[in-house]
Amino acid sequence: MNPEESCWCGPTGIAPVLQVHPSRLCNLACAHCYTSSGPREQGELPWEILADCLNDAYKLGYRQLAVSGGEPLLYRSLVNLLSRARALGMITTVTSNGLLLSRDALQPLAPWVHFMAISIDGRPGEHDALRCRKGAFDGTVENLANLRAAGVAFGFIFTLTQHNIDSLEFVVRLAAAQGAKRVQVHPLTLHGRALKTLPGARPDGVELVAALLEASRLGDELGVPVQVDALTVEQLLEYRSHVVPERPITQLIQIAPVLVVEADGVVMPLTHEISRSLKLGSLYEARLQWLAECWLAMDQGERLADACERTWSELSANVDSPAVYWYDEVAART
Amino acid sequence: MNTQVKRGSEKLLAAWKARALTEESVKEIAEALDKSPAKVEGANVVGGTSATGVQVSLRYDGDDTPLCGNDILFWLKWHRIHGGAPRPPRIIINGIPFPEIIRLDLDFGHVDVQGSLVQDIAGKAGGGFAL
Repeated sequence: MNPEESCWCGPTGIAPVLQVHPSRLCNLACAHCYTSSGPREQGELPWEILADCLNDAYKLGYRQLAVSGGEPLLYRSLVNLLSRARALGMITTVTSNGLLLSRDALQPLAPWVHFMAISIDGRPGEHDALRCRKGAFDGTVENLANLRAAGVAFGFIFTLTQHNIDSLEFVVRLAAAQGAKRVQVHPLTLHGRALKTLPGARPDGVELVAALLEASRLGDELGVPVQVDALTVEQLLEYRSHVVPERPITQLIQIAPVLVVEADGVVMPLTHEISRSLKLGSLYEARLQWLAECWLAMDQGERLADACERTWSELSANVDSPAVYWYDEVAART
Repeated sequence: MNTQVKRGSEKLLAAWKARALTEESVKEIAEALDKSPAKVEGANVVGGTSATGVQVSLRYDGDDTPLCGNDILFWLKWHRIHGGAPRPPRIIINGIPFPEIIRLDLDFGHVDVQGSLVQDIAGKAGGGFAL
């Protein structure tokens, strides 16, 4: 499966994604942060390790680098990371809370970023409450002008909880007014700090369906594409081959269209929430290429594929759950 | 916050229900059209049994053409009282500099088109910003 072939039919959009969290250092300590990032989290992945990781990831078929964190703008080697990815021909995206996007900070980054994803979690009060910082909303929105001035395309990421789909309209209208190219609705995962601070806030199937319908309505009405990271049962049935890999598993991108590099160097397939027994290993111990070969040789890919098949079978037979966040469901079955 | 106890979808549904046209508001439109010299060329009720909006197409001929302004004024007042998400009126003028016919399309309330559920799967499973 080569992502450069005309149609990449995986679940990640246009290309397999290498998601890198180079550090958990952040200027905020958000209530819903699944990596438990914050101002006191020190340490970062050395640039040399990530440079090798990028080269290996490219050879393995990953074509999109998604940098998250922590706050990526606090990672000292961010420009190196992005420019190396661009030199390899990868698409680059950066997810940021937007508060540090000054003109000066953007100047060195702008040539290397294809797309910036800015977190906006509802109306000002809701956003500030989730970010645990009064004035966070205003600060972020104020900096959007800097993105426009730098010519960097950007979109919004909205964290969907059990309680906030009614705020999506505000966010999409803001996106339309501010020139954001799209809005991504990402369901809250109960991992990291969210586990303690937001129990019971994970959106269920009803909220996911409401999000899908509302996203469709708002996208049509306001002309801003709104993407929800959720699948209906009908979509699962129709697009089985997009989420359940073909066997045997011979390449990493077959089973892990998303590869997550955590701030401590641990590499996880698909998502943070997958069982740690399925981790590829640590970049501090070996290069990604080697970790991938060992992982596949140990039939870990087949184990994960079993979990995908099991997930698909159970969900497609369960009419009580009208929509699901696929990776969360797979993770729960590992 | 008390509002956080409710499901988001419940709040969304409540907001949708609040958008339904009341009998009184529809009656006002009917009475205004009765008084207007315009000929009603078409009408469309949006939202089925829980109608949220009405679209009307009006036509003014000859000496009646200047009176279209009265109906636009009513349209503005109606939205000030009943709310809604008005789109600008669509006006077609036939005859320059002296209009012979004016056609005026007015939307009352919420007439936005309902989107169908997107069937495309790309990026929907999650994992990185879907481009």
